[in-house]
Formats: sequence, structure tokens, C-alpha cells
Amino acid sequence: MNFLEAVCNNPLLQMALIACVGASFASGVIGSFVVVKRIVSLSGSISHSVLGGLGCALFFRRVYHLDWLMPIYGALFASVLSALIIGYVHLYHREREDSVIAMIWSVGMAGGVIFASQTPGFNLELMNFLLGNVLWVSSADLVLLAALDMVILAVVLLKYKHFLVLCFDEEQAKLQGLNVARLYFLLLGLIAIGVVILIHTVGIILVLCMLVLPPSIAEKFTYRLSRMIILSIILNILFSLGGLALSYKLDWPAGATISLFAAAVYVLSLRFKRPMSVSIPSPVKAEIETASD
Amino acid sequence: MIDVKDLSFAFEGNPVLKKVSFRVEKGEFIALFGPNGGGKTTLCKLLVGLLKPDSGTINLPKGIAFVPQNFAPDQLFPISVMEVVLMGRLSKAPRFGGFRKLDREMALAALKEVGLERSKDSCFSSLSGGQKQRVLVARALASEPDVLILDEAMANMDGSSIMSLLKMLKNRLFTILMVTHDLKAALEYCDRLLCVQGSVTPMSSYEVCQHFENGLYHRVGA
Repeated sequence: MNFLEAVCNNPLLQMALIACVGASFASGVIGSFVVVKRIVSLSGSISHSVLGGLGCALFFRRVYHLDWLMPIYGALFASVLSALIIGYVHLYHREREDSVIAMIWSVGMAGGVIFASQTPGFNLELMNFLLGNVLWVSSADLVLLAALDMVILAVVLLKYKHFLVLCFDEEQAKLQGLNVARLYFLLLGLIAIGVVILIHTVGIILVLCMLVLPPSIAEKFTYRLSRMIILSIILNILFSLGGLALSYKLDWPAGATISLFAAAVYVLSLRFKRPMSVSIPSPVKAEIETASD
Repeated sequence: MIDVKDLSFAFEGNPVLKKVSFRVEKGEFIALFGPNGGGKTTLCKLLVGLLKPDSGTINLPKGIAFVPQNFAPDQLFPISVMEVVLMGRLSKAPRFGGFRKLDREMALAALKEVGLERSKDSCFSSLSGGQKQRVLVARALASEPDVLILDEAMANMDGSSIMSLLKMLKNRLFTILMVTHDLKAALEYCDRLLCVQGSVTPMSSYEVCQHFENGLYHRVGA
């Protein structure tokens, strides 16, 4: 049975495809801001801190029988909390930012490991979140993914021009009367949500790959952030679906295959240069023409 | 009108400006000059609110535009010239969604004033240093400021660009404070000159010429 036939017949694969497309929207949008703002390590810290939240939620769910406490709630709480701490340090104690990023990164992982060791039974769920298993997505997860996707898309559509100036020139944002601190926290909050969406498809360890590689490839083909976002979403969908098909054919883990596929295309894209030097009119030439008119 | 009283600022304990007081009338074109490390950039940043003074008061109108000295954005940042200029319209544009037609027209008009309207769709990073500075001046003009502060904004521009820009600014009705080392141009285009060296001292044309002759600003005369 080939991949397309399997998709038609297998509801698990159908849900996995929907999850991949949903995650592609989030990572394409958020990843583009991560890449242009140069906050990749910050995003890595947020994504790894999620393990602590997941472990904590699983621990309380199993030990205290809190069945309503889904691991994803713990992940969301941990990522938003990390984003708030990092945002505070970035804005008010920037000289210590690197150290705090490293601290949150390791504390999150350490917390996850300790909670996992104290949780009875084999933590398959935690392993799925860590390494990614898109085939394990439930319909409730899809509803949550769709809602989080909507939040990200709506906020970015409404505040795009503000995020653009925040990423390009923070001083100008202040001069224009924008509340830079609030805007920065909002951006980090969106990254936190995006990370939670992505851990379903590729897992904590590979989140950075999907967040960073597609926008980094897209950046080579356009010099407009809005187009870079659209291209990143398309690339994310291609990598997710292509990786999923490959993983089905090769019987490899889906998350790892998706990431390797994206990384291979990224390496190939390094040969390309931005179009600005070939496809746009030279401003100098334009000025000379204006002068001669 | 700009009214600065007893303004003091220290950077990590080292005083940069001490008890600075001066007044600029509406519509004046002021040149700020002085030696490196004299506090010109600090004064500009205090005026626009990017730094907080240790003591003293600053009274100035709300609409301030600022063109910084060394703006070095990420070379790979994906942004067009027009998008950079539109940033000057943020305080006047709707809070949510995109820019209005009026904002785009104002941005384009500002680009025309600096002679770069044909580069509106170019990538900002592809421009030369002088062209980038002209785009930043256009961004400041697009914001329809009451006060324009230029911190060595013309340092990377060629002579003819500087002259045409100064001519254009001279005819504007808003107040302009321009940090410059080009005293020749300052004497020609500015209404007054203020020397910034820990404090702010008004200087007459004669005093400036004395400085000039003493070789303090020989670079300009060369």
C-alpha cells in the first residue's frame, strides 16, 4: 500500500496530516519572526523548558488522578512562563540574557527528567512529546491546535506592522509611542504557543528545526517579511507532508524524518543568494535615470 | 518650542552632561556641534526620550522624529525601502491592521523629497550607507514631526545629497536640531549654533569661525 492509499484508509494518518498542516501555519508565522529577530537560542530555551511542564502535568495526573490535567496544559504553562522570564530579563537585565536562556533550557529539561523518574509506570507520553509522534495526535489535540493556530494568525494579522518595527528597529518602535515591552512579551507569548503546537509533530528535540529552517530557506528567496512568512508556511507544509510520506515508506520515526528532510533542503538552499541583487532595479541606476530625465 | 532646564546625565557614574539649559524657538534650525564624547548623541537621546535624565526637565512638543547616528540593522533583514519609511507613520496609522492609503501617500512623498522614490520597492539592505541615511530622513519626514532631530544623519552622504537635503530642510516650518561637524554648512543653513561639550553653549558665527581658524575643525575646511 502506498502512502496516498494509506492516508485514504487510515484515520490516524489523516489526523496526522491535519496536525502537520496546522503546525505548519504556526511555525511558518512564528519561525519567521524568530529568524529575523535573531532569537533562535531564546526559542530553543522555551521549547526545552516545555519538558518540565509536561513532566509535572503527567506526574500530577498519574499520582493524584487529575484526569483533566492534560500534559499539553503543562507544556503551555511552562512555555509561557519561560517566555515571560526571558522577556523580563531581555528588557530589564539584558547583560544576563544568555545565562538566563541557558538556565531555563537546562532547568526545564532537568525538571522533566525528575518528574518522569517520580511518575509511576512507563512514560510513553513523555517520550512521544520528547521525540515527536504525529501519529499519536487525538481529535481533542487537533481542536486545541486549531484554536492556538487561530490565536497566532489573528494576532499577527492585527499587529503585523508593529511586530515588523519591533524586529527591525526597537528604538523607532519606542519613538512611535509603541509599548515595546508589551509588544515583546506578546511576541514571546506567540512563540511559546507555537512551540507547544510544534511538539506534537516533531517533538521537543526537533522543534527548533521546524521553527528555524523553513524561514531561513524562505529568507533566501524574498526580501519582504510578509512573503517570507507565506513561503515559510508553504515550505513547512511540504516538509511535514513529504517527511511523513518518507517516514511511512522507510519506516522511520516521523518527527526525525521531517526534520532531516527540512535540513537537507536547507543545506541545498545555501547555494542560493537573495534576489535583491538581480531582480530589483538598482537604486543608483534609478537615480541616474531620474537625474537625466 | 524646546525648553531644557538643568539637565544632567551620567553614564555609569561618569558625568556626560552637567546642568544643561537652553531654549529653541518653534521653527528654528539649530546646529549642535562639539568634540567627540562631548555629549551630542546623549543630548539627542535624552530629548527624544530614549534615555532618562538624572535630573532636570525637558519640555518639547509631542511629535518628535529622530534620525540616529549609526543605524546598523541586520543586513539580511527582509524589508523594503517603503516599509522602512512607513514606520514613520505608525503613530498616525490605525492601531490594528495595515496602513491607510494616506499613510502610503505620505511615505511616498517623503521618499520623493530625499530623491529615492524610484527605490521604494528595493530591499533596504541593498542600498548604500548614504542612501540608507536618506531613507531614514524620509521616515522622519513621513511622521510629520514638530521637531526633527538629526544625529550626524548626513555623515555617509555625498556632498550634493547633503546640500539638497539641507536646502529642503531649511524651508521646513518645523524645529530642527542637527548634530554636525560640517560647520561650513551649519553656518550657511542653520539659524543658530550650539556647542555641546558637557554643557551647551551658544556660539556666534564669529566664535565658530575662530574655532575653524584654530584648526579645531580642519577636517571640514579641507
